[in-house]
Amino acid sequence: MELDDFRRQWQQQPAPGGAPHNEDALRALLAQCSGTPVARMLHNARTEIIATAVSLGIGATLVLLVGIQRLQPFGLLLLGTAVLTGYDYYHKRRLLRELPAATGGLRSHIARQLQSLRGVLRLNYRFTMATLLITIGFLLTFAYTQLPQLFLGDARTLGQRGLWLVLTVLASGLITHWLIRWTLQQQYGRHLDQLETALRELEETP
Amino acid sequence: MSPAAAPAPDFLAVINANQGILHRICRLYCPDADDRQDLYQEIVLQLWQSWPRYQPTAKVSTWLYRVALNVAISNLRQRTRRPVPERFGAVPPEVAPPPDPGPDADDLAQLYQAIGRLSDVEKAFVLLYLEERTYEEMADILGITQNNVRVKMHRAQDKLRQLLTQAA
Repeated sequence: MELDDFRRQWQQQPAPGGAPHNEDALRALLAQCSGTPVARMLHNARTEIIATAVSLGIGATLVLLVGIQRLQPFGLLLLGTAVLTGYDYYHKRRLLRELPAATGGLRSHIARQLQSLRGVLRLNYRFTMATLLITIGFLLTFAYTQLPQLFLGDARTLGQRGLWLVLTVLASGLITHWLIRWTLQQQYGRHLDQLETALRELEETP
Repeated sequence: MSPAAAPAPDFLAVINANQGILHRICRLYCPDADDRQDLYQEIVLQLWQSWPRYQPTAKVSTWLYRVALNVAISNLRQRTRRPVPERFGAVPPEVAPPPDPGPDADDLAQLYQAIGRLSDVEKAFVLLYLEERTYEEMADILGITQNNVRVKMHRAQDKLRQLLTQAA
């Protein structure tokens, strides 16, 4: 059987049994699309920024109004996290909003998707690493203000503690780096590979 | 544009007139019925969102194939099965295989099986061939040159022939 025969059969195949849409059915169908992965990512980003704003408000109230001296490092931590989350939210929202536009030719569409998705992943990676740095900074500030005895002693003792600190920071950084890379690879790696393969297949043949 | 806004009657007419195309694309890219339903929803959403930018000078079919294939191939979706949420219980209409397969059912099943072994991009070429689109329209849909379409179409057809021969 030739391909043309298959084509004839393809065109004569019965139409699937979906009922025609009316306005209500279509509206219901479109409303359910809020469950797509991109919509969920946007929703998660919004939740993060709201949670951070609430935490920041509570923290600022505690530090400024109640005036508890011991809570000041937490206020700094909240402030740093809020700035970071705001930056992350702004850029992630922009990148994710670019993702669904599907009007161009397939090749340029895939290229744009790849670019946007890589941008989101880069942002996730940087956000996690920056959060780690802020957390370490907070712990050091907290230790310096609340446990000053740790920073006293002769040069050799301080040197050993400093070395342990540097090693701990490096180990935390490496573990976080591997973990975030692994997580992103698990979540998006296959999809990225498929997009790259599709893009290669559409490239001009010499 | 909010999905809750009332769809324009023209858009409804276009979707209803071209449901067959959308269902065939969904069937090609999603063997699983629930995945097909998800993909169908995503395609309709993308069509609805891009409808205001649609230029009436362009062919509706070109716009429709372009958006549908873009979503089917590149949309970020889970490609493995997951539990079906409760809310899907209320969703009409389920995208199902043809209720009456007709006398060519075996040949069509063989064709679908062979196409299922092609890559996503090869499926797009084969689909456009089976739907009898011109090279000019294919180039427009895929965003590549007509010469490139000819070369890749030839390869995709060769591969499909081989797969069909093996299956036979």
